[in-house]
Amino acid sequence: MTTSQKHRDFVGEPMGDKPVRCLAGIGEVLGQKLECRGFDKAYMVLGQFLVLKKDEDLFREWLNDICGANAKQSQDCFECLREWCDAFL
Amino acid sequence: MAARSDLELRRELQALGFEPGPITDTTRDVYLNKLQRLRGEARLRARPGVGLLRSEKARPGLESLGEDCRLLKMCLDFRHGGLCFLRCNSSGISPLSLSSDLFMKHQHVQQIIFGEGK
Repeated sequence: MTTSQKHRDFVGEPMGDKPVRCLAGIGEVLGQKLECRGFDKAYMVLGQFLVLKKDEDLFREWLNDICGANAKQSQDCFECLREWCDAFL
Repeated sequence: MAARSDLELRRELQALGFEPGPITDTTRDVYLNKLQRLRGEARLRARPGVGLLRSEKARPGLESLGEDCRLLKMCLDFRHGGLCFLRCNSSGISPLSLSSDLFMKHQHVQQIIFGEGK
């Protein structure tokens, strides 16, 4: 699978306080929706990813429910967080 | 369904073989949907006959599942630990037990169950 530059940038270093829009698959529109629901930082979405035990189906369903992410957006975000965890957790 | 407590939801998921993470305000709806899906799958598995399969002549390659066999019917048999086929041979009809994994990996069977191109 080919990954975007955004994906590689995120996975390449600790996320620190990066905004939620730095996650692969999360652009301006989805980022704003997530921020409105309290998920303004990437680490908060990571928290949900971990609480859902890194389960792809559950995480992608949650992301679709909370901000309307489509299949590609939710897959990109899932893979971004999964690879970040593989590298840093 | 909304009246179900977090503990009840957890136990129902566990009873269906799924181990959930923490059930919180942000995960509850996801786990409720998961419970509905698992219940639907359990109901399907409980049905004695799922449907008829075509003979291997219609699908070249199915003969690799067993020589001199013709697949007649797919059914669920919990005693055999998963999906089970009935086959016809010289000694009559006998069960041919297959694990779910083996069943899913067999390309031709997958095409019959899920349709072409999946």
